[in-house]
Amino acid sequence: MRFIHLSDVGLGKNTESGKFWGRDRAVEIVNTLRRTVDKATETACELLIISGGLFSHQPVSSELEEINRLFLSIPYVEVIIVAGESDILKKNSPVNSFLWAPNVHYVISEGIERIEFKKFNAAVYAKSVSLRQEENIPGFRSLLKEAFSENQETICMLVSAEPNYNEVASVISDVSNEKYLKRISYAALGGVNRHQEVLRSKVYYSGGLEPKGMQDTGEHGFYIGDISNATGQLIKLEFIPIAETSYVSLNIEVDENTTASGLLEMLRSEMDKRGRKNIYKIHIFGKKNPDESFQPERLEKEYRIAEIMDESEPQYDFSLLFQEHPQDMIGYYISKLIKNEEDVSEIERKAMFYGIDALLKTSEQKGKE
Amino acid sequence: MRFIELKIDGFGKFTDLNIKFKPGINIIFGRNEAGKSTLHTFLRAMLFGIDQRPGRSGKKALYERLEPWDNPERYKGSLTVKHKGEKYRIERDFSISPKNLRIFRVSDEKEIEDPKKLLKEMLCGLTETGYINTISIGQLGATTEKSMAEEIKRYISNLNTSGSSELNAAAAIEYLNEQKAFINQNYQPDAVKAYAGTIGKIKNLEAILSKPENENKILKYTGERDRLKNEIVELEIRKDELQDSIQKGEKILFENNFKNVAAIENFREEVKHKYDEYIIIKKKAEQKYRKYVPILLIILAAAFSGIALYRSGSSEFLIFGIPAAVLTLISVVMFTFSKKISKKYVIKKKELSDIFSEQLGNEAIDENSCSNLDERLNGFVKLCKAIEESSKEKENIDEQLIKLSRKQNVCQEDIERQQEIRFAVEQNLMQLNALKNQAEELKYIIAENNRIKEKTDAMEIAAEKIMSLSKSIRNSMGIYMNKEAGRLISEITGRAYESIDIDENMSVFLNKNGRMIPVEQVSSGTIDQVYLALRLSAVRLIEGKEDVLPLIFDDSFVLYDDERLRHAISFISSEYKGQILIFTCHHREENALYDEEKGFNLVKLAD
Repeated sequence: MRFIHLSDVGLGKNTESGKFWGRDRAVEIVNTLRRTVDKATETACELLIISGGLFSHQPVSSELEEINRLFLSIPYVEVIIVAGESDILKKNSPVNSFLWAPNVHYVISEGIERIEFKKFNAAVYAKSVSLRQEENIPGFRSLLKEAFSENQETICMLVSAEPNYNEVASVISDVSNEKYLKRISYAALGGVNRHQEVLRSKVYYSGGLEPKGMQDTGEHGFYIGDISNATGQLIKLEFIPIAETSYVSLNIEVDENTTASGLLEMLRSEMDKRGRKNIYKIHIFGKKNPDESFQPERLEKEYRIAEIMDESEPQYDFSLLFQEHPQDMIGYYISKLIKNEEDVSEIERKAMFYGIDALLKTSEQKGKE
Repeated sequence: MRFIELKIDGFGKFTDLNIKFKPGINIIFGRNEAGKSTLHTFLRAMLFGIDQRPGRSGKKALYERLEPWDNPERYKGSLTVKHKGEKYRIERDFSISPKNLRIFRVSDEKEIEDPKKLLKEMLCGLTETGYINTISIGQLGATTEKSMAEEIKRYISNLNTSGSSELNAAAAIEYLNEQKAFINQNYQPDAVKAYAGTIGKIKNLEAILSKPENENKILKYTGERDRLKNEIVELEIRKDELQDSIQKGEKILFENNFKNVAAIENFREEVKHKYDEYIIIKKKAEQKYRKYVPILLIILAAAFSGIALYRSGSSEFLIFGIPAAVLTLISVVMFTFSKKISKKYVIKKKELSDIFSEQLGNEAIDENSCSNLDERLNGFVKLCKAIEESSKEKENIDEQLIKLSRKQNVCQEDIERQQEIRFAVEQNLMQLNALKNQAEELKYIIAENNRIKEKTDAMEIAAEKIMSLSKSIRNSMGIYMNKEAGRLISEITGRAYESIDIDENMSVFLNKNGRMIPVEQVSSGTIDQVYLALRLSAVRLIEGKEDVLPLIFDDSFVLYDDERLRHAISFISSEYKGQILIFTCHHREENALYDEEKGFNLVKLAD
């Protein structure tokens, strides 16, 4: 039986810090989901599992309609969806009364739901994350135990976005849980940004389908696997990176020869090289020519830039300056500053550079008179 | 820095002029119109280039006015100076541009890469304005004390506002403010408020949404509705069944002409009654004597009447006649009765047999048929009872149906209400999601704002520092000048005045034995000295440690009398250690120096 395991799609988030490409991202994410669904048909998958985080917020009926339509187009693939933290199940949610296509199973119970698939002889134990008041939330172990009572002939799978990595790892390392683990063929977990193997050939986090922020490094996509109908074992599992974009950190060191336009060129060529669709965090550091005023913000309209940190400092040879300006304001300023340079707060340091820059720039102008 | 030699190729009225200077005092003597001011201007032009400002109304610009009278293309010159032990030649070719500048190191004729920088260093950073205020000293000595005091005040204020340090400060602060304004363009001051507002709205919406009445209960209600529907359908089916059987039953009753149990019982009573009567009548009817007795009686009556007739006319007629008549009468009566009874019997029999044949399909009238009829009637009674029960049940069902229909209406209302709630919840959810997106955007704007604020805060701090520095410089300048000028005054006046004080209004006071005397009140001679002392201290402020800059007096003592002049010259020559140039059209300065036995270099300008 062939299946696809994905999670944390984050539909519905159409802004990214108010950037112009925020909405485009939202469209890209939908496209990636569509491409994943296409892959399901291409590879003749029988089961598609979304282990949490399909939506980035409480879904409304129109959004559920869209997803339903998407899955209506693959009527031969069974789809299981559980709610995750981002689209946590609430009592007032439209999801509670939405009528899905016959091949879509959205888990709206507050406990563990058992979904049976006679056509490929499988039983899936799925748990949505819901807003529950009580303390005793069934964890990974409870899922395992529940599945254990299943008839030996059926393929057993678990789907949940609730247990975190530590909980799962500790359950797996506990020897008394070995027999429960033996019973299941695959546990499709979600709620973690990066795809991870927790137990070889058994327990996996698929990670977000597309990265969501600077911290989401690495590849993003889905798992596709085969479970033997005879033995019930996972015989093949492959991670398919399918995300259109990555978040990339660019660290650029400047020196006194770097010009403003030169820097822009450098940045442009780097971003063109790595891909214009990617999202960049630019960090500029080093000692720059004090006359050059870098304006990397200019690139924000052309490229996808999440953040720019310009930590470059003007290269001032203070002692030389002091020699040149022994008696005037600049000399005074520098002498005051040099005295205190060691334990200077960040803002005072910045103020220093601004002050000297202003004094030098304006005295040069006057000097021309 | 001191002047060594100036060379004019072409400048104003001069062509190919060479003047050599020596260290110490240099007197440059030239009659009026000899070109002293042109020379003076040449020195200034060599140091700062030619001022490019347009001339005042009617007057041509300086640059044009200084063009050489002969050979305008040869509009250049050079000034050789000594700076820090090294000789440099400053060359300017004004035909190229008013600020054209080249400097060569004389020892190896190497051209200096950054001549402006070197020049600035030589001049201790002096600007042209500073030059005018410090080392280039024009005519001194207005006539009245008051105007002189004013002149001092003006001088001091000029020094204050056009001193290089002040310029720097004001300009630098303006520069910082411009930068601040530029960066602040992107600052969105309402962001925090908007964010708080948005968060407030989000919290409100979430509170509303989590109210229990907003729970999604649609399925519950639609389930209920479906259940009710099913119940109703079942009941209606049952009702139809009942209706059917009632109708059937009533039809049977109708066909048998029975309305109800009472009617049946009546009938039964009737039949029983009839039957009883029938039995009685039958019995009666079957009594033979009824048949035979009248015949017998008739026979007897006939006999009697025969006898009576036989014996008629005698009294035996009556004895036989009356009994005969009586017998006949009785017989007739009995016959009639018997006939009646028979008739009745027949009727009764017919009635009963009709009834029985109608009811039982069998005319037989006997115990069997009675009991059969009874049974049959019982059957009908049962039927009646059944119909009654069915009717009751039907009524019951009708009641239930009414109740259920009411429940249905309520349920429908509930569903509609739920749908309204659902719709409202969806609207709220959509709004909530939009607000959350908004909040994230605002958060980013706030972070940007903070970044901007960091920068502008730093700029403000820088501006404040500059401001306070310039104040303290001004103060220290003021202090320095007070100190230095005071020292000079004290020396020059032979301790007549101990020190000097300049307040914030730039009014000058002289300290005489602890009394502060405003400068307007002292003698003109003293004011001169104060003026000179101030200028010297201003120069010294710029120079720093040593008297490295040349002082240039341009016809400064023209209005002095001899005594004053001698004192002034004496003071300057003994006090100032650097090179001194005195441009004059008199010999008085010379003479004063001779008298003082002070060495000097005399340069005579040709007429």
